[in-house]
Amino acid sequence: VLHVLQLTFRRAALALPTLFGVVLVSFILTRLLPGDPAVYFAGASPTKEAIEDIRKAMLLDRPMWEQFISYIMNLLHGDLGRSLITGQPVVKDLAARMPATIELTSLSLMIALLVSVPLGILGAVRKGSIIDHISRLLSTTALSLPSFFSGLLLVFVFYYLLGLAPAPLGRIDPLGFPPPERTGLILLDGLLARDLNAVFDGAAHLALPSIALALAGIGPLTRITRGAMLTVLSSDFIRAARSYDMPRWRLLYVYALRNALLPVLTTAGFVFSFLISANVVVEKVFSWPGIGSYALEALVASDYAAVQGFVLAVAILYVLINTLIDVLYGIVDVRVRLTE
Amino acid sequence: MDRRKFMEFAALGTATSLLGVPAYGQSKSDRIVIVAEGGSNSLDVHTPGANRPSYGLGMMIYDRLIQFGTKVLPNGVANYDYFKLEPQLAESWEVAPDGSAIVFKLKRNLTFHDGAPVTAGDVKWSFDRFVSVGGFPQRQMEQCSLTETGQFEAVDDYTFKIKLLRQDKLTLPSLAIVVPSVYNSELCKKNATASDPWALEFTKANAAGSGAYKVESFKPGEQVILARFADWKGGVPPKLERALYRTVPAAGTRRALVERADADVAADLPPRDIADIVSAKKLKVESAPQSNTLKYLALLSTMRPFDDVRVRQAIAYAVPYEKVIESAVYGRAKPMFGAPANAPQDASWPQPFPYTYDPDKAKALLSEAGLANGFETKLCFDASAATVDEPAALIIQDSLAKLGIKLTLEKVPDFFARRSQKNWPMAIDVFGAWFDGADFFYRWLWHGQNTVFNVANYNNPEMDRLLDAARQERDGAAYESLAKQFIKLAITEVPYIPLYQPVLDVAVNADVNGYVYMFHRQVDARTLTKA
Repeated sequence: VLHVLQLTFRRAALALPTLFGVVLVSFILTRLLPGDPAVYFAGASPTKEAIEDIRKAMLLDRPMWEQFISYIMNLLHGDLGRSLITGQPVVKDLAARMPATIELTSLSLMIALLVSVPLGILGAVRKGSIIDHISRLLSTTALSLPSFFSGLLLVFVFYYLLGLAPAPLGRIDPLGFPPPERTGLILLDGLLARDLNAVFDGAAHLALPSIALALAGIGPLTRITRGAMLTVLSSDFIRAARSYDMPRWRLLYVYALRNALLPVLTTAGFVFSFLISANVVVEKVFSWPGIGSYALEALVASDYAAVQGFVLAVAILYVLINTLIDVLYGIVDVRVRLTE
Repeated sequence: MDRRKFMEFAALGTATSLLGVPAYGQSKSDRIVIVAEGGSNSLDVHTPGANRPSYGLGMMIYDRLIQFGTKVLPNGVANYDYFKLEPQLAESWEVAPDGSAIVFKLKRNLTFHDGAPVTAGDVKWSFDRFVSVGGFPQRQMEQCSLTETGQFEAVDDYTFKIKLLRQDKLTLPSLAIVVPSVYNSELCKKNATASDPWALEFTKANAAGSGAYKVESFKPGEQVILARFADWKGGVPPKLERALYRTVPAAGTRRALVERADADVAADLPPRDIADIVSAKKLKVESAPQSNTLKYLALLSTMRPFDDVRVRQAIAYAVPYEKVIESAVYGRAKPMFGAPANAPQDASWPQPFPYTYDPDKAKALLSEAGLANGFETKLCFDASAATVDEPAALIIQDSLAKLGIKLTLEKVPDFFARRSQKNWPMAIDVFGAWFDGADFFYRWLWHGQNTVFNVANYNNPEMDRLLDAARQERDGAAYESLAKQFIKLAITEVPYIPLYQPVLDVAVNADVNGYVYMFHRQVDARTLTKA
C-alpha cells in the first residue's frame, strides 16, 4: 500500500510542470483566438464608449504579461476568474457542472466496457466466425457514427417516436426536485437519500446520452480487447496451460484475460479522455448541464476565463486518470511494480 | 438562490415526493414551459455582459414608469405598439408646456416583491443608477438624452420629474425599454458594498423588482422558474401561475420537445424547421416581422471598385432577391425590393428599395464604370448565422459570376468583433433598432459618426446634414419631408442593398394563446394563456 501511495505522489509531482504548460498555452491560445469579448458583451448598441467600458472592466486594456501574472496569482489562490456568460466565478461554475459530466462520462465508459470486453473476447475466441465478423461490423459502425448524430437519432426514436425516454432536458425532470446534494452525482445522491424516484428519474435521463456517448468508445475498446486476447492466446504459457488440460473457463478468464487487460486498461484511459471531448456535442443535444456545453458556449463568446478554466479542469482530469491507470497497472501486472 | 436555501428547498422536495404529494399542487395548464437556444446570464440588465435573454427576463421581473401598448398585425399576430405608451408604475404623466420637463404621477399602494412600497425615491435611485454604471445601460440611454443624475428629481413620494436637456423624441419611448427598470432601492442599498455602490453583484442573481413575475429559481444559462406576483399592479395580471424558461441548445431537440408537447413554446428555430412545422399544421407559428430590422448586403464604399456609385447600383440590380428569400429563409421574410417608384412615398421604415433583379441593367452600369469584364472581390458573412446567410451568399456568388465578377466567400467566426475593422469589400449583415423611425435606424448605418454597424464605411456630409436635422425635428410634416430625402439618398447611393426584413417565428402548441411580439425579441410570459 505504501508503495502505491509513493507511486501516486511521484506521478502527481511529475504532472505539475505539465499543468503549468497547459495554463500557459491555454492563456496564449485564448488570446490568439479571433474575437473580442468586449464587443460581444457591449450589449444591444455597442458604441465605442460602451466597448471601452467593458474593456476596462475586463482589464483587457492592460499589457498581456500583466494579465498573465495576475491570472497566475489568482490561480494560486484558487481563483479562476469570473465567467462573463454566467456572471459567476469560474470555479463555482465548473464545480457545479463537473459532476454532471463525470457521471455521464463514467457511465458511458462502463457501458462501453460492458459491451466491448465480451464482444472482444468472443471475437478472439471464435476468430473468423460469423460472431467475429458481426462484432467487428458493430464496433466499426459505432465508431464511425458521430456522437451528435447518434444522439439525435436516439432522441428521435426513443423520445420522439416511441415516447419511451424522458424529454432530453438535462439530468432530471425540470420541475422535479434533485436529491439533496452530497456528491453531485444524481444516482449516488438518490441512493444515499433513499429517494428511489430520483434514482429512477436520473437513470432515465442518463440512459440515452450515455448510450450515445458509449457508442463512440465501443469501437476502439472491442478492437483492443480482441487483439490483446489473440496475442495472449497464442503465447507459450497458454499453450502450456492448455496441454495441462486446464478447464477452459479458467484458462480464458483467469490467465488469458488478466494478461490481456493491460492494453485494455490503457485504451480505457484514452477512451475516457476522448469521451470527455465527445461529451461537448452530446451535452448540447441533451441540454446536459455539464462542463462540455459550458465550454462550447464560452468559446463562442470569447469568454477567456471560462475557456481557460475548462482547459485546466480537463487537464487535471487527464492527469488524475493517468495516475489512476498507472497505479492500476501495478495492481494488474506484478512486473510493473518490480521494475519501478 | 444561495446554497442553504437550495438545500432546504431540495430537502422539502424530497420529503413531499416521499409522501406522494405532487411537486406542484396545480394542473399543467397553470404553467408554461418555454425553450430557447440561450439562457439568461443575469437577472439585471444593468450588469456588464447581460445577454439578450436577460432583457426579456428583466421586462417581467421589473416594472418601468410606462410600457408599450399592443396592436394587431394583418396576420392576426399581436405586436408591441411603439406609438402607444401606457401607464405601468406611473398613472399619468405630463410634458411641461415649455418642453423643459416631464412630470410623472405614480400609482398609489404599489409594492415590490418583498412588500416594500414603490416610491419616487426608488425611481430616482434607479435612474441615477443607469446613468452611472457605464456600459450598455448608460450608453443606450445617452442616445435618448438621459445622461446625468441632475436630470432626475423625486418631488414627493408619488411625483417624479425628469428635466429634459433638449427636445428629443426618443426620450419618452426610451422609458418603456428594458434599461429604466425601477429597483427596490432600500433592498439594493442594504446589499451594496464600497466597491459596488450600486449593488450590481446582488441584482445579478437576485430580483429586486415589482414586476409581474417573481424569480423562484435561477440557474444562469440553464433554467429560470418564474412565479406570478399576486400584488402586481403594473397591468393586466398574468394568467399563468408559473413560467419555466429552459435552455435547449440543439434546435432539433427544441423542435422535438414542442412537437411532443413537453414544451409549450419553442423559440429560435431555424426557418427550415419553421417551414416544416407550418406545412405539418400541428403547431401554431406566431410570425412577426422583426421591427425596424433589415438584412442587407453592405458594399465597402471607400474602396475600389465600390467607391463608384455605378458599381454599387449594378450589384443592386444583380441580386436575385426572390431566390435569396426562397432558399435562405424559406420564404419567411418581408421582401425589400421592387418598390414601384424611384422615390419613397412616405417616411415609413423599413421600406422596399426600387431595385429588382435585372442583369441587363447591371451589365450596362458595369461597362459604364469601365468594368465590363468584371473583377474579383470577397463576400463575408457571419458564421453564427450561416444557416441563413450561406445560401444567400452562394446565390449572390452565382449571380455575380454571370457578370464576370468573381466572389470568394468567407465565413467569419468572430463577425461581431471584426466588423469594426471595416475591411470587408462585401458583407451580409443585419441591424435591428429598438426605436421605431427611420432616422434612428439610419444613424447607426449611414451616418458619418461611423458606428460599428457602418460596415460599408459610408460617409456623406449631405446624409449627415439630413439625419441631424431629422433628429431635432418634431413636427410631422417637416420630419417626413427630411426622411423622404435621406431615404431617397440611400436608394441612389446604395452602400447598403436591402435583402429582406427578417421575421421572428415562434412555434407554440395549439392550446397556447396570447403571444405578443416584443421589441427585445424574447418570449414574454405575461400575456400567454393556456387552454
